[in-house]
Amino acid sequence: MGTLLTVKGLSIGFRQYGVMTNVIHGIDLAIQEGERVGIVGESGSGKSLTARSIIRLLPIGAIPTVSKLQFKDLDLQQIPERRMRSVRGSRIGFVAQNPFGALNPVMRVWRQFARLYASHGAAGAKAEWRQRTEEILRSVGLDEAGRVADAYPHELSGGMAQRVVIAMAVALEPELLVADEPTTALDLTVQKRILAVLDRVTHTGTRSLLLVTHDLGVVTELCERVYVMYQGRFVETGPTLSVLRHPQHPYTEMLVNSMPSRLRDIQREPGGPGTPRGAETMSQGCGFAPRCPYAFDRCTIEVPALESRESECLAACFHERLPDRPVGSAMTPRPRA
Amino acid sequence: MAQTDTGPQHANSAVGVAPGEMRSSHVFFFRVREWSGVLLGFAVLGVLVTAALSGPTPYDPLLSDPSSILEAPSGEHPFGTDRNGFDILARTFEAAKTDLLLAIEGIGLALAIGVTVGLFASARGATGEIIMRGLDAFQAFPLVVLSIAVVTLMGNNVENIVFAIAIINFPRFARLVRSQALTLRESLFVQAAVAFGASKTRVLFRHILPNTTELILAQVSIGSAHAIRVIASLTFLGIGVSPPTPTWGAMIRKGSRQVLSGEWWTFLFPGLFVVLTVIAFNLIADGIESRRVQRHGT
Amino acid sequence: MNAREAERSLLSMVGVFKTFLARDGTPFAAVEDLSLEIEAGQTVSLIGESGAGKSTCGKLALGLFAPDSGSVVVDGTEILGLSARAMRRCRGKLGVVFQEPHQSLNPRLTVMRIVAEPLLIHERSLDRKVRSERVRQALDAVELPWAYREKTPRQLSGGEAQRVGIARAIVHNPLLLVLDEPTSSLDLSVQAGVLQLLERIQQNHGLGYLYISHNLPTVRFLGGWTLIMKDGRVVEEGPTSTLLTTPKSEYAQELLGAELSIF
Repeated sequence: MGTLLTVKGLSIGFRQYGVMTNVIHGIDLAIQEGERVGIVGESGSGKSLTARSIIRLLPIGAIPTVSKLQFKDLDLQQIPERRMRSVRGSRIGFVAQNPFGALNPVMRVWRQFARLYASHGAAGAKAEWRQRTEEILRSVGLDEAGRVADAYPHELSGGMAQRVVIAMAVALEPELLVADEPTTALDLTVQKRILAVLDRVTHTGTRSLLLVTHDLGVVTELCERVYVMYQGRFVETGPTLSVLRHPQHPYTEMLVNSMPSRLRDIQREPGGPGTPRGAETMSQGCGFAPRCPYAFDRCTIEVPALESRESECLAACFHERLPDRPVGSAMTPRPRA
Repeated sequence: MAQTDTGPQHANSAVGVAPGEMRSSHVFFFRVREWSGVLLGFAVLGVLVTAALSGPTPYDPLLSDPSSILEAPSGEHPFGTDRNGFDILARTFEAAKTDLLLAIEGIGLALAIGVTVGLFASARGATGEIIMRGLDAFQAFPLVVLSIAVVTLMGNNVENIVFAIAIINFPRFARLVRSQALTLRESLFVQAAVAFGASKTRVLFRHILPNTTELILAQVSIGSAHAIRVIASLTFLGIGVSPPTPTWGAMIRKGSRQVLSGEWWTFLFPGLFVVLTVIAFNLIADGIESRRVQRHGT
Repeated sequence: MNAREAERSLLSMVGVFKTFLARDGTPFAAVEDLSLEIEAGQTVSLIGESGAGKSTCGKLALGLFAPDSGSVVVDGTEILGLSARAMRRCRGKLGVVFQEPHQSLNPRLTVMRIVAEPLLIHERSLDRKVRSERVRQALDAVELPWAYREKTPRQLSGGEAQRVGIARAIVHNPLLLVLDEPTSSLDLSVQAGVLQLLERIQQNHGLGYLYISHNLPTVRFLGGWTLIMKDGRVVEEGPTSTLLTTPKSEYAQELLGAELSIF
């Protein structure tokens, strides 16, 4: 399996009052063919920005710099926007959080597909396109493909609309599917079905997946490898189960310990009330140091780099091994004050 | 995504500062640039008001000197003199007093009426709609006709200009206040207040009104710009103010008689001042509104 | 349930029905035949997916709507048909925490003024010093520094804003809190702190909680009694610990089957 996507040294900054401030700090990312990779983080971590920078759909004012952005044979950094537009959709598909935001509300579903084919220069008669559309809709589990194809987006439920979006994202058979919080807005049972759809469209091994989410359960369900992101940096990466069950970075540990099911077992309140606005980006050194229970002086001066740990994981921490015990082991409950 | 912690809401404000990079003087410079429109507007108005109150020239705006009629602008009379021998500079600034005062009074009255009507109309559904349609009628009324009607009925006083302005402008505020009140009624913090047992009055005055003031501010400025033009038009037609009290409109009218004979300074300067004042108010309105939109998104 | 039992419970809803009219005029039943009871120090959770009717339930408990039929009894008093004054007195025994922390706080007010509001409504006779002290105690209870009192919501993080919301909900010493998805908009790490805080507050003050959520792990954490709702009806109910481990109804099993974990 070859390498599908290589990102090296990605930084994204914003200019305010003439000064450039970075929100993503030189991250490296790689996805192999057929691999399913997740980026996990909380709000403000920069995970969405990272996903969007791969398809070059950044918000106004975002200034990216990258030393390498290679998608197979294409150097995504260099190609002109016109070319990039054809890459989006036909080689890299994108699914966002709000399906109704991605669908044109005044156009029926089949028309939106037709536009998609036309804009990518696909040849073919209208009848062919219609048939192909219905096939794809069926492949994402919309059995009443005909009815859905004739519908307007507002006539669909959230789950159905998201399936349509996924269908459109894979219609032109892209090699990579990027999904940014695709199930966050959906009910639990609907989420299960959508994740099954995502599983199906990427399972065959010919399509890779980059999934961005804040939900640890979701990333465990779909991704074999994960990057944990905090304040614009990857703090830990490795096989999903290793990273989440045996975290080797204090932030990952805190995140995992924050799951309500874990709260009874741990001794202290994880993380505190959260960092106050603005404070987190003003400190030097490791961004997590203010909240880290293991922080020492070096942590406030230098930023640790990702280094190898056990079980094919990498963690960015000056501690080679976390003093605490891994997730899942029993601990003495704290006596009630 | 709906998560709200460690980071701000949208990427464009996702900035912190690297230590040592941002001095407060640096920020100040950019802040000033952001606010430049508003500052300029206030500066112009400030100069105008100060000059008007302190009287920039030794010449009395209400005393004419028959020996210096229609003199071109010079060191003595920077704006020249008019056909009655009045110093135009003095009169222009004196007129500022009248015009600005009338504008402020007019808009102030419009604000008072408009906010009251708006709040009242927001509290009741169907009646509120009827009131809004009534307001449409007010706004559709041609101003000049209305002013003439008012003057005919109530006499040719300066107060009537204030009433005319108030009547034309209050729907603007009423509409704004009502629509904002209706929107805020659905907001979560208003629902919270109700859930905690707040009375309708408390909700209206403690929660809805304070969140409406920002929106109104820009409209006050725009209304003032509008009012200045209205005052100029009405006084041009001779409504409301009698000589020798100077107003820009009346001065323009008097000066316009000199158009053919070429004494341009008699009508240009008052006209220029009308334009300047209107621009100043608009700059202020613009600045306030863009700041508000920047903060709230709509 | 007899009258004496109803008096013991903080909130008692029996056979509550509520129907709304959809935009095209057809009626739809938001809540059908709901009954629940909350006692001091107890948490009763309502779980279900969107449209299940759990939020409507919360609003019925607060008296924001009147039920079409059935009774809602708060601390022994039936709230249907109460005068505005009596209703306000009743609301003095309740507190509410909403889902979106920043949207549930008035952006123009300071933390001090926001938290003090229930006192201004229900305990008007308090003088300023006493009121200030009560706000301070509430901020202490939610672990926010006193220095925060002059801040505005815009200056707070999501977790801090939600803590302010909780402080506001307890400052007037209510008997029962209605919590409508209080952690759903918060980051995982922040949610943890808020959950532990809610548990502590309940233990210290003996509050009853009506906890509305679609987030199963948080419901499990708070324990107590749970009702599973679907399309306005209660599909199954029982002690939280057993219900959310081995439910009997098909829908509940479906719900639990959809839950994901890292194990």
